[in-house]
Amino acid sequence: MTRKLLILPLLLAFVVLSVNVVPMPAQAQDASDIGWVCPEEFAGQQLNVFNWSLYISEAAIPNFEELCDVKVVYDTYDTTEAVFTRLREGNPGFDVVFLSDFMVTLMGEEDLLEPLDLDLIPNFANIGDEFKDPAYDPGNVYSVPYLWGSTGISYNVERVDEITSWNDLFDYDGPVAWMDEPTVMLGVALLMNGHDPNSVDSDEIAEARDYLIDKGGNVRTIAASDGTFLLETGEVDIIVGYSGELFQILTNCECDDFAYAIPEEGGNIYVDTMTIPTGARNPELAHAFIDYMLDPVVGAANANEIGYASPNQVSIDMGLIDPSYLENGVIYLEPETIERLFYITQNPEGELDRLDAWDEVSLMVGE
Amino acid sequence: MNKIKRSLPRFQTRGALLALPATLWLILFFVIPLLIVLVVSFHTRGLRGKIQLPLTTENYTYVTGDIYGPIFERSIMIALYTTVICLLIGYPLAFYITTRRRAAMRNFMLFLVILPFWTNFLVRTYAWRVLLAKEGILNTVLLELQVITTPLEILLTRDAVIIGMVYGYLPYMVLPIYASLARFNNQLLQAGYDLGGNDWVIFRRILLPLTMPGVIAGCILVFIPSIGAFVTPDMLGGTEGRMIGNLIERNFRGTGHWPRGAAASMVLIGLVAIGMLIYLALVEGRMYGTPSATTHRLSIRRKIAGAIPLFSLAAVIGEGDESALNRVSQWRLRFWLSDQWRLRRDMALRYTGQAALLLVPIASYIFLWIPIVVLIAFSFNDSRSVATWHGFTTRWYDNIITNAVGSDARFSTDQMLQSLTNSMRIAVPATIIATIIGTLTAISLVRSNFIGKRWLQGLLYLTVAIPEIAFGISLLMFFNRSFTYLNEQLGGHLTLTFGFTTMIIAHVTFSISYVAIVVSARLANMSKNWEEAAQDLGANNWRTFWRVTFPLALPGIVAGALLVFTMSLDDYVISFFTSGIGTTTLTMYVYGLLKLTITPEINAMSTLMIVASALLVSLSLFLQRPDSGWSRIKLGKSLRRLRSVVRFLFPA
Repeated sequence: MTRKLLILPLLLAFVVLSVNVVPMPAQAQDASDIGWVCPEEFAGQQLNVFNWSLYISEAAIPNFEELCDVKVVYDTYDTTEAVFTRLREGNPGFDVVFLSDFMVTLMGEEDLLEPLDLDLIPNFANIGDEFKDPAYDPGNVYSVPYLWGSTGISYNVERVDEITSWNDLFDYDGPVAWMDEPTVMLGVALLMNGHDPNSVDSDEIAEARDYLIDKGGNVRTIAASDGTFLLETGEVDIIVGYSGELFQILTNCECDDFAYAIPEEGGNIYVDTMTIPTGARNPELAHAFIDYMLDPVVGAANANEIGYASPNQVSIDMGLIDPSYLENGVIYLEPETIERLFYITQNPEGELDRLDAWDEVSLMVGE
Repeated sequence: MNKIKRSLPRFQTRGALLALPATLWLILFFVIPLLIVLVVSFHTRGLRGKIQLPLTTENYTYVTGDIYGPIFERSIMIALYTTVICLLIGYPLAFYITTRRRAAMRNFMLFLVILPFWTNFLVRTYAWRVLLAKEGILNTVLLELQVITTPLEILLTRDAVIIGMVYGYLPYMVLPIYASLARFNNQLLQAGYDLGGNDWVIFRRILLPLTMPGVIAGCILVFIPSIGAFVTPDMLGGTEGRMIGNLIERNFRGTGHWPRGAAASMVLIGLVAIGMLIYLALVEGRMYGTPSATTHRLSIRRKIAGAIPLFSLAAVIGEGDESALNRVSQWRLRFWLSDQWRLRRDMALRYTGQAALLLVPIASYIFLWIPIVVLIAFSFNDSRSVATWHGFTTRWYDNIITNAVGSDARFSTDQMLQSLTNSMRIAVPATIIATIIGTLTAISLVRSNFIGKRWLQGLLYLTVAIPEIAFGISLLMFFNRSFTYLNEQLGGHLTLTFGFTTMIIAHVTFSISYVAIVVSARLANMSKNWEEAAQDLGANNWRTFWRVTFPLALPGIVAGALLVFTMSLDDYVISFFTSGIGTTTLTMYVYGLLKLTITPEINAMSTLMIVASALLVSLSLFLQRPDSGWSRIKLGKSLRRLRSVVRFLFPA
């Protein structure tokens, strides 16, 4: 009587599998628009890419497959911390891994990344000077920048007056959400107490911890990466969040109910990069892929579709970036605003203090 | 008694053999990783999160201290609430399902319970947020109906966590209870009524004791994993709802504090182990199938009954006169002896019972499907938002369908479909393997006694208790080290690496115990007489198994398999750490979207999966409508029916 139920998952699986047998047809967007030429004979080879889901334009991968006549296998992850754990226990064969800036420092130190041969990446010249030779990877030994963004304050303009300072968040009398990024939150608290946001001094970190616990009474949640959802549904009025996320809500709602601010004290800048992990099976093709991604046309398509800022100066100079993005004050920032931003450097010395501090903060606030 | 004793040795060898696959599997893929966690928990954290010497117990001091202690308590409380509510909802629901007259209806109702869980976990959780938010659907409806005047604050509170967890764990309560209720021998109930019992007495004395293994299995499968839950509290609970799972997860993240996370995991596992030891010592061994079960229960009852005069005496002494005792007898007289009172009381009981048995299932089906309705609605949302409504569109479906048909391939949709295929490639084999191994284990546990049986049972509960992230990472370390070693030994003839196989192994490992526990619950109240009768009639072991044991165990096996398939589809953490190249599953894909936003395309995909499964279920139920089970004649009939369905759908 119930035996037939057993076959159902199988049937479903069969249906799903058979759907996928349909061969891949030609692409919607044309590879011939791209001036980039595949440098070597890679035909028939395979490239394994590890990235966030959809953190790339629709056409980028199919076009690369066409231009180089290769197959790209694209796997996804949710956080670069998870990638760190994964790759520390051996690389199963990834050729290109997209990483956050501070993770490049870490994985470089741990010999989990291959040094890049910049001669094989001529398009590296397209990157704007301010993104070359960054603090997280001096000399671009291991990484080239892909996209960048900032961490600041997103808020509901109908409920909150214009935000100019972190105090507007910390002293706000209403529900707010922080983000579960200890380095950023503690960095801001250090900044507010007049210290270096990347300080490794135990006393200063303790001061930052107490500051956050003191100011955390209105915190409804410390959101992993979904604070925007709470802002959008009106559950909280202010969130600490990424510029790219706020841009997503603004695009979604086609409204101006929400605004983004880099407070006068400063905010965090982050760069997502492309790297080649140790143990890559096809480093030559990986270099070619990175070079392809830095092509002005390809780079602009990525930045425009995803809604993050491109470090590719040539794309901007050639007018390939959506002009409304350049001006909306969320994605691309004024040079003087950029100067107020700080990088996370993940200095190993302060690590344990920060961990303990954040444990306490995250359990004490909001109650 | 003597006869059973004489047949025991034979049973023991065979029983131990049946348990062998699970034992070996769990020792290799669970005990070793567990030992890794244990070893890590005594290490020191070095720079960059490295695990270093010297050995220390400091991590245990920290995780049982002021900061983590209260969170442990809170987690246990939330898990308790979740379990009790799940039981109160789950039992009537399971009863309702098993009492449907037609087999097709029973199966359909059972599927309605599990189907919502074949959508993506994150998408379901998002739907709950849309429902529970301050300006969300629930508050809007209640305000509109003027039930409340100010919006309820549910989201980002402990209550939201409990709602979310009851939702997520309800099937783990319903399916084991269903398994133990299915094809319940109604003659027992009839006998109870004939002897003059009312509904409550029948339930309390016959139904509940006989389905107790299912209830216990359900409680175990809800309580233990829910202590260590972390995504639901994270997304629904906010700062108020943090649970120990969140802390463990954070410590295992990147350069966190693995020894501390490992220590917290071990404390959690230790708590569960102690609870289980007490439970096994007190109840289980006597309950599962051994002949003394009833005797034992009776002896307990006799002890309680023996204590009643003592209580009465205490009452007399307490009140100082005999009137207390008289009151007690009068009360008893009134409720137990007066025919009129009895009749009224029994009728009242029956009406309340009937009302509850109708209302609870209806309410639970609404509860189970409301987030799915929200999810389906958002699959037609004309915006990338899954939080607010922006108008109707079918474009998310167009993307999927044009891609599937092959007229126009979008990379993102292609990725999604590919990851769904990967999910199936893992879920289907994992379900088959775990169901077979788990069923064999259950048969051996219930039907025989052998050395180490208690150990195996304990091991099964521990696999339910281990926090996902601790298991995922230790399995990653285990596979990595053994592959490095084995590849050296193999000298390049064969290179072992991560991929579908490692993921399937991981999924089977955490699933075996679910099947074993559910099937055990099913077999526990099945008398061994059937099997003995078959053997007396000359059937060999093989025939006895296929003709008697297997059909008897089937509802349990189906329930177990459904749970495994659902868990496998939903798993993220363990899949991620055992994955290789080109093995991204649908759940991994959706988690990867958190950097941007989850698109309604995922909702559309979930909707299509639900519709496809529902169609398949209906079709299969329709094909076998008249009676139950497959046979050659029925198969022919079914094929003819199928042909007529196809002709109806495609007239040409």
